[in-house]
Amino acid sequence: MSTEIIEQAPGQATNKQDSSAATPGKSYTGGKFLTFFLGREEYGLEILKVQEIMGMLPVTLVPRTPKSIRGVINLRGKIIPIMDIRLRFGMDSIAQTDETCIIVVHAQNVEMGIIVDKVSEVLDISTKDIEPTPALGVDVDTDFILGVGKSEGKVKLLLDIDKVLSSREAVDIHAAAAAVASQVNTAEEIKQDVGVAA
Amino acid sequence: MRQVDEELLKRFQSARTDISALDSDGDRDTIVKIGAALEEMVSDIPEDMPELIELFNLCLEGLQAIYQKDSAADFSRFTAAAANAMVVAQHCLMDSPVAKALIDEAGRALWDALGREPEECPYKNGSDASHLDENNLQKPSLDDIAVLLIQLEPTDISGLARIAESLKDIAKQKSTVDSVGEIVDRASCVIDSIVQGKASDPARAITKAGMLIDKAQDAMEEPELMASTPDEAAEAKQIASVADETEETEHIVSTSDKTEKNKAEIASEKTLEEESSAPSSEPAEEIAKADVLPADADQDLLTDYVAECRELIEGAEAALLSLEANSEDVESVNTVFRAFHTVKGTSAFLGLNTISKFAHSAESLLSRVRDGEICLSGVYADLSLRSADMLRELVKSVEDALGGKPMVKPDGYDELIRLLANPQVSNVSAPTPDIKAGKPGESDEEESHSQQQRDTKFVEEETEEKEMEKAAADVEQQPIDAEKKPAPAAAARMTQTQRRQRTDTQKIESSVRVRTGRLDHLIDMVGELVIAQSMVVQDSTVVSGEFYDLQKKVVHAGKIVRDLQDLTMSMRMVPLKATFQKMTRLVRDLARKSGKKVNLITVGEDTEIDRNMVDVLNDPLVHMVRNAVDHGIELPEVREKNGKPGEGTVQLTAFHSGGSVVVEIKDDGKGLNRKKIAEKAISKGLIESSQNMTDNEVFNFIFEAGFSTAEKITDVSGRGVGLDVVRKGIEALRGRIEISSKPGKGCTFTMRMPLTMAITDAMLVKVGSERYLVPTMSIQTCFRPDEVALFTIAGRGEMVMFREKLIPVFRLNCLLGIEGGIEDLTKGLMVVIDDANHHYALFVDELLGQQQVVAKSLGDGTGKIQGLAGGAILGDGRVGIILDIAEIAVIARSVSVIGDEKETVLANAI
Repeated sequence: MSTEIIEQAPGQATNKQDSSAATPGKSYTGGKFLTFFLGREEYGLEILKVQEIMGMLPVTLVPRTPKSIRGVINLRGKIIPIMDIRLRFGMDSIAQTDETCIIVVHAQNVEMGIIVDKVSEVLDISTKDIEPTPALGVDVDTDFILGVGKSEGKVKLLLDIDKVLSSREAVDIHAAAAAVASQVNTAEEIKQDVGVAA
Repeated sequence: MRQVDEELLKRFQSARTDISALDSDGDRDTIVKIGAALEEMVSDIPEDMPELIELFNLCLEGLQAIYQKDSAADFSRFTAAAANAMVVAQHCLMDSPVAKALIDEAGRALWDALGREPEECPYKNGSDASHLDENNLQKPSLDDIAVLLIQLEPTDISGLARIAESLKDIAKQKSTVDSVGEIVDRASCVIDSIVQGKASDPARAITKAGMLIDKAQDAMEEPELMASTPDEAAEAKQIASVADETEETEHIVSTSDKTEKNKAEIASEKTLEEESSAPSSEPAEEIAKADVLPADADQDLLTDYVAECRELIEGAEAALLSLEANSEDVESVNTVFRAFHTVKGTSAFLGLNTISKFAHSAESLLSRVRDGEICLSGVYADLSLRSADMLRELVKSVEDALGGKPMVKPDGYDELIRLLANPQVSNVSAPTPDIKAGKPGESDEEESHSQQQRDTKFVEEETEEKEMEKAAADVEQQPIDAEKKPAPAAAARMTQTQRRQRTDTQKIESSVRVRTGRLDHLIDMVGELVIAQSMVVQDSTVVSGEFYDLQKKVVHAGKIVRDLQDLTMSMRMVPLKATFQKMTRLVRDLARKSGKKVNLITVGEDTEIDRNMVDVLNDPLVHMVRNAVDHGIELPEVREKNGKPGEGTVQLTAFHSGGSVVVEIKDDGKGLNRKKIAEKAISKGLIESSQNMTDNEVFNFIFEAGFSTAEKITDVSGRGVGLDVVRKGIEALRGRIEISSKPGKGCTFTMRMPLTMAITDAMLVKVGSERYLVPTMSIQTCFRPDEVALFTIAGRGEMVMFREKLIPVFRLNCLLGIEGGIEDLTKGLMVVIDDANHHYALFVDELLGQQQVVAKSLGDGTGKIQGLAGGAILGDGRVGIILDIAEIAVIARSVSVIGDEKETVLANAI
């Protein structure tokens, strides 16, 4: 499946442009997008970053990771982490259905599976049909939205998958580690304080 | 006409036919082949024809341009011009009087064909093109002067006068830095003194001037480093005035010494650098060029090149060592020579000038060995080995450059090139413990005398060769008869036999180079296949026994899968031979340095071990061998006094034993000194007394960091770091190390390691609904505790009494935040973890069994997670998490500390 998709996709050059465009300036170019549903919202994922799509597999829980990391799966002998993208976006987790899918994405040399409610279709969205992300105020984090694509009167939220996968999660994990370290430190400080008090 | 020329002529002819036959869409292989042929010819062109070499280099550049389909290069014109160049080359070799003009013409044609700017063409019209012509010296650079100077006869007063003039010009030039100007000025004074007939010894004065110019060249490159000492200034003046030779013999010795170096540099510059025939270019430019990869480098080609060079260098090193032991081994000489030659050829073709230049220098030395001019021993052997090291570094720098790092010239590059061109200098600097202390000054002086008498390049000088021969023999204390040189006829015969041998050996083994990533993938996939197959076997349809035929087929498939698995696992295995070979080299160097005689015996080199482990094993081995030679083996005199043979023996043994690999290092030296180790341990506060300790327990102290019983620290060892590294390395390999030693008889270190790092022996434990893998290596035992064996400290810290010892209990479900799982300690199981630094009991629900798993990373997306060592695919296809028992302890401590203290604080607050 994955190869088929990649063959249909536009040339490598466009892709490069895309990924470089995904940096702060938030400019974007059209191309093929794989769309999927999270609840009623439809999201789009740059097709060249998609490695494969598969049904749910048994996921092994990995302790001491952020909540949004569901665990790891065995992808034909390779262990890859699985992210529950609902949790990542601060949505509620829902029970698994027959339509629940894992999309394996490959971005920034990281291979990761993301759990989505339903995979929809592969869409061609041209640059003129993409609008910048509207500012929705402080409450809604639109950092990982590259832009809003319009197709047949519907709106697809185009994901900046690099951002979804790397920065925040890495920060989270490191933050967790740092938190543990600082806890130890505080504990030691407290100990000292206690010692002084005693 | 020289004899080589006959053959060269033929090769020129055939190259010409090849080039003419090239198709415009010609296949790239042919181009590469021609390139290699040209490359080889360049090395064979007599060095006194730099113009010809330059022409060939241009041809090579052209080939490269064509190879890369450079649009600027006109294909048909190039082939015509290159073919013409071959004809010109033939003329040159036949000493045709019009050769020079022809070369220029051919060069211009090539230049045009390559579509380059005509203004930049180094080949000028007409007869004035011979750029080394003294009459043409309009504005010569320092480099030109340096070259000119060594070509001049001391009696050529007019030539010297011209040089003095040009030097003064340079000194006056505004662009010249003050310090440089000063030196140049001084040099011109020296030459002036010769011209005016004031110098008592013109030859010496010329060398002095050469040295000054050389210094000026250095200073121009690095002006800030340049600060001329008053000493030298005085010296220069002395020479410039009517210096009395007998007054300062010592000075002369040192001066001529330096001068030799300097001359060697100039000579090597002349023969090696293209610059020598292109007067306008600066040496600095050359260096800058060398430090980057060619912009148009083909990544794949370079990768292959790195791998190939590595192999060649390794082979060359082995051959060098065997050559040192048996200097008659002509096959080895050829192996080394071929290796260096191939490296040179391919490097040049890929545009890696730094490497090809170096390989060339090394090759020139070796070619003299091959021709029987010199004997590869002592200084020469050292030099050759150092060259191999340097090549390896250079290749490494290419690899680094491929990874995006800047390509740097390794330290000592220039020095080594200089030494290679003039090995004699290394005589002075090389560590030669055996040389008789009294005489070196004398022999140096002798050399300096002969140096003065010569006025052309000394590299080919016959007399010097003999001296070197003598010096080398001196070092080794085994005089080598100068007349031992094989007669030409015999040499020819030998070459023939080798050729036959070569074809024989090539038949024995053929191999395919596979990228490791692919191999790992294959192994992964086979592992998956095994799991998938076992799922089929366990399928209810198969198990039911209803379908007998299906069952038979499944079993048959199972057999094949198992064979396949064995085969793929063996693919990762490599023999220890290469590692042991490195030790041979190490022992040799160490023995030379410390003045001991050591014989290294290796047994079981074919023992196979996981590819990934070989590199990790290397470091510990180096330290152990170093220890054995430096501390274990005594000096020859001491050994003889103790009734042992003067030559010590270190034996490296490897063998398989019960699923693990054992590597033994045994020396017949003085053995470990129990008393000394015990004293040291007591003084370091590690123990109070060694009375009740076994030898083994005492000996184990030597693995402590900073524990050294050596009285003095040498540059080899004695800081007490080595064995600590050894233990860490072996532990990283999940292995163990043991010592046995007999005073006066020697010492044996035995290392025992698993066959492969890839497979971990692990215990599958269940906690709540989750399963985890605990490495079996660190598990001491498992037991279900009784109520009476459980204790708590302050109501919280849980302990269990096990074999009369209290050990802390960590609940795995609490540490990893797993819900469910048994709470009652008497209902679950204690897994007692015991490794060097940790001793605790891990509380789990139950054991599910022991399993051999392939450890894998948990994917790049997660990074390193504290407490987890990685993951593995379990028998049912799901992922199991492997625990890191050391980090689990860290987590446990931090969690319990936080829990305790917070409560304490709270309690206090209340």
